[in-house]
Amino acid sequence: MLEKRYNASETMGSSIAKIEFLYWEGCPSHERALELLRQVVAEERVDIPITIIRVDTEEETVPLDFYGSPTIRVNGLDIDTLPGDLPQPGLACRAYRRVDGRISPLPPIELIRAAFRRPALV
Amino acid sequence: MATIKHGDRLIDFTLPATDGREYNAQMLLGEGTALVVVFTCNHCPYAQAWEGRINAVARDYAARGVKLVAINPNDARKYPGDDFEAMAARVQQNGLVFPYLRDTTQEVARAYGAERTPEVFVFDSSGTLRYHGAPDDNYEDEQAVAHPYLRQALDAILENETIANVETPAVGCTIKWMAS
Repeated sequence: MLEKRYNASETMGSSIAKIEFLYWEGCPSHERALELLRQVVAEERVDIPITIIRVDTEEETVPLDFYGSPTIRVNGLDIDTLPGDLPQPGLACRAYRRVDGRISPLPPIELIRAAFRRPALV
Repeated sequence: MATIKHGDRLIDFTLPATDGREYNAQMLLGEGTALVVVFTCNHCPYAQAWEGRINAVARDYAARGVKLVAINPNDARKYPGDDFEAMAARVQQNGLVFPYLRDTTQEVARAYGAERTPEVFVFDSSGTLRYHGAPDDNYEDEQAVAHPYLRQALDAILENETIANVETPAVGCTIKWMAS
């Protein structure tokens, strides 16, 4: 079993290799979510292009591990825990929990920042 | 796309609610000054984001005779979180004050041409559609709402005034239709 070890002196920001933004047109929040992601990319000074993937069909959701729109992955890791009420990938709108506890169709910018600041794997 | 537009008559329906009763739209209208019909659901984050505000409208306008009902038309086989039991639990957990109706066959949603959750239809006491669309202009931040469309529509109806925005785009998740 591969053991994941974290180097506390490094953050993900210095070793980000991939940023993915997956969305479905059926959920209206994707444009605003992409704006937030771009804002964080600029703040963190990450010089990696965002891979934007539009998911159009139910069939595409399985190989893409798409549990709802929008989905943001940094180095292959989702920025949030997967929604517990969606038993399988599918075309749906994801629910994110804001810092004040309320539900939102938008990922909180704090969550996006935290994903970019996760300790790097060594 | 909605099948009824501003000025059209209420499409009648009778649906079961989580409180064990059945509710008929015409009867509700006959008892009140206005009727708000909201197509919504449990699982959609837009519906969840607006739920508290819709609940507040139901509470705030009840004394002025406004009736508000919510209708969940989603396919519960695909979204178990939208089944009748989950709806009843949500009413209890979140203190919802309005009847939460189940449109199992999706006939009412199709009759109205509803497409999103939430999607609001407001009828005056004569059963005429006076407003259709989103509850307000900001699902993300209640404090930043500039146009509380639903409240503005109700205020205008109750004061016998013209509604400034009679139609806005409904914003939310798509209704989860059963496979035909």
